[in-house]
Order: sequence, then C-alpha cells, then structure tokens
Amino acid sequence: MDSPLLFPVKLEGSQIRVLDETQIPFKEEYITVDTLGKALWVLSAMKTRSLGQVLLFFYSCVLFSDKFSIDQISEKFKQKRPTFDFLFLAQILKGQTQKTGDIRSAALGFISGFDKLRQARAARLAQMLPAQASILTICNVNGELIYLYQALERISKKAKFIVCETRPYLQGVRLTFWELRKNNIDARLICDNQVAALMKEKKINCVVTGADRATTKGDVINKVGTYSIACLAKYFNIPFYSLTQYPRDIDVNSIPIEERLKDESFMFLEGDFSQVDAVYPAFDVTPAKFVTECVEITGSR
Amino acid sequence: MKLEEIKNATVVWGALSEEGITFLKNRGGVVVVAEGRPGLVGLYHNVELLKKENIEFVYCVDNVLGLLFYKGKIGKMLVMCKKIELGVLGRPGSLQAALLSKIHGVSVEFMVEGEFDFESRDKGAASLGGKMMVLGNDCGGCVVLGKDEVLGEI
Repeated sequence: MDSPLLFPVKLEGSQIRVLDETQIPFKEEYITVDTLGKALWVLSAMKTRSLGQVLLFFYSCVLFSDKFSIDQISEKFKQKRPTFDFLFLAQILKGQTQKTGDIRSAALGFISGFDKLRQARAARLAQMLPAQASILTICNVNGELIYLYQALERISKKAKFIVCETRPYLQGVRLTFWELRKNNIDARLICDNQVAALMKEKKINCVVTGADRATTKGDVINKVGTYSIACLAKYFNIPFYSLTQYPRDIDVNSIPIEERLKDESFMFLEGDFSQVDAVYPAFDVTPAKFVTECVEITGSR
Repeated sequence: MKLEEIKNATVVWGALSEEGITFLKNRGGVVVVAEGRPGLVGLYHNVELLKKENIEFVYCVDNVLGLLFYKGKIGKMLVMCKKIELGVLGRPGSLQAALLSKIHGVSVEFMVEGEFDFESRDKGAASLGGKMMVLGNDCGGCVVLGKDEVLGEI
C-alpha cells in the first residue's frame, strides 16, 4: 500500500519537489521550488497543505537558510497561512539543529522520525476503534488512514471509510477517497451535509479527523466542517478522534482563523460568480468537550 | 464579506419560495445562502432569487455553517422542505441544518420549498456542477447518493 500523499513534498538536491494537490486525481504533477518566493506561492495557492506544508517549511529552511533565518522563514510562512503554527515548527527545527549541528540533518532526521510516529499513532488509534469500524472522515490526513487501515488489519479489525467530499477544495473526494480507492480500501463518498442522516441511520460508528492546531486542553482547529461533524457525533453518541501534534497551552480562540478569498468558495464550478459575495473561513474550532480523544503524535495523550 | 460582518443572520436551506422571500424581508438582516449540495440549490436558485429581490446575502459552502453557529452569527434557520404533512420531509442535508440549529439553540422555520429542478442536478458527491470529480467508472456503488430526509424529532 502506498500513496504519494504520504510524502507530498520532497527534497532533491538543491530543489524542492511539491506534489500539486490541486490537480489530483486528474494529474500527478510536481512543482519545482527553487526560491523562497516560489515556496510561498505554492503555500498560498494551496498546492500543498497539512503535512506538505510542514515538509515545505523544513526543506525551505534547509535550502534558503543562507539568505533567511529560520525565524524569518517561519514568519513569511505564517503570513501566508496564519492559522498554522509555523513559529512553533521553527522552534522545533532550531532545537534539532542545536543537537545535530546543521539544519539539513536536523530537518531530515525530524521528518524521518515523524513518519514513524505517525505509524505508531495509527496503531494506537486502531486499538480504540470498534472491531467493525465504520469511520467517518473529512479532508485528508496525508496517507495516515492507510496506516490506520493496516494497523486495524493487524489486529483483525475491519474498516470501512465514509469520506466527506470537503467543499470547497474537495480534498475528501480528490485526495482521501482517491488514495483509499487506489489501495483497494473500502470507502464511500458523501456530501458534507449527509453526515447527520448517516449517523441517524447508524452507518457511522466513529469519526477520525486530522488537526491543524490543538491545545493542551484538547481543543482542536481543523478544516472547516470538522466542528459540525463533532457536534453531530456528540448528539448521536459517536466517538470523535482527532489526530493531533504538539498541542500548545493557549486559548484556542486566540488562534486566528484564516479567511480565504471569496472566489475559492466556487472552486471547481464553472460560471461567473464575481457578483456573488461569499465568506470562506478555511478552518473551524472544535472545543474539547466534543473530542473523545486527541490521539497525539508523541503518544502523550 | 468577512466573518465579523455577519450578525444575527438567517440561514436559508433548500429552494426558496415566495413565502420564504417574504419571511426574509420581514426578518431583515443578512441572509446566509448555503451551497446546498448535491444539487447546488443555494447557488443556482437562492442566489438568483435574492439578487432579484435585492436582499442582502452572503454565500458559503455547507461546511462553513458550523463555524457560523459556533461564533453566534446565526439568529434563525429557514429550512425549505419538500413536504410538510404529518411531519417534515426535507431534501438532502436538511436534517443536518436543522440539528445544528437545535444544538446551538437557534429556532428553525419550516416552509414548503419553491420550484427547483433537483432531478437534473448532481445527485451525490461524485460530481459537482455536472463535472465528475472521481476517476474511473467502477465506483458507482461507492457514492452515497443524497436522498430525502425525515425531520421527525426536530
């Protein structure tokens, strides 16, 4: 089993190669990044996100640290995607660099270790899920559902995934559904507003989502739409698991919610919508009371 | 429109009717038009109607509704239904819209929907605006098509 989304950004010599996630499933194309400006464009144009933006940040620090400090790069990344915690990533990288002596080995070592942690996290989550898991998910967690499926198989549990399409960028359809189907994993695709109906019909018995940010209290910020699912899961008594990394001891409401351009609300639709006003916050907040368990990357929760 | 500009809004779910328009005019304030997947009834029907009636509105994908509730931006939910006879029968997503309202203590108004040709629009998440978003032709059974929903306990 494999997915290009497990490592959507690669360091190749003096260039970064970024999987253009906006083209999947129709094309598997990589964008070559050889300047910080290009890296920032890739980030702001949503060519990569989630784990991809972490990799892009680390590799940008490796390649461009002769001209920019790690802090400067993190600040520039944060300006493009303000909800994500690039400043904390900078702290991690600086800490690792102090240990190894150079940025390259620090970044590569961290990334290699991070993948092992993701596999271990999937194995821990597998223990928590039902023996016949009917797992609702939203957006995309960069191949970690494949790790989860494998972990469930190892302990003789069955899994079926129900994937929310995840408007407006359709990461659920284009990335998650695509990578699951490509690996012959049982997956069903739904519109984002079908969650309540399926929960009522008892077709979902657990929810697994990613998390762009998390707090030590257990609050989570993730792709917009996550909060609705969490509310409905609570209402129907369905456990909600969030895959988190490095929670911070901060007030979740102090984290800025990125509002994207209104035009992005109409992604993939044909027509002239310039006269239609729209609002598109890219993330939402899920308070801890709706989260059954934050499955932390370090295993601390 | 930015999030901070939205206050005490009315969300419209389903195909607006003349009665729905009158309700919105009487209530006043900004109207939030949800996209209304799979058929995109919000985009193809409600937006046009509200423009014609000169009613202020802001459009959003269905996923944004949760955050609007969380931030206390919604004062009313208007659900346009297929039938209201001995109970409420709604289009896909109606249950979710109504339940989210209930969970957040926002009252829901049910009305009979206006005319919209749902049959000729997308039926599920495999396509968007008529364009296929999944690869291959073997995944018909993998898409859960939208179907009418009984809103019994709301």
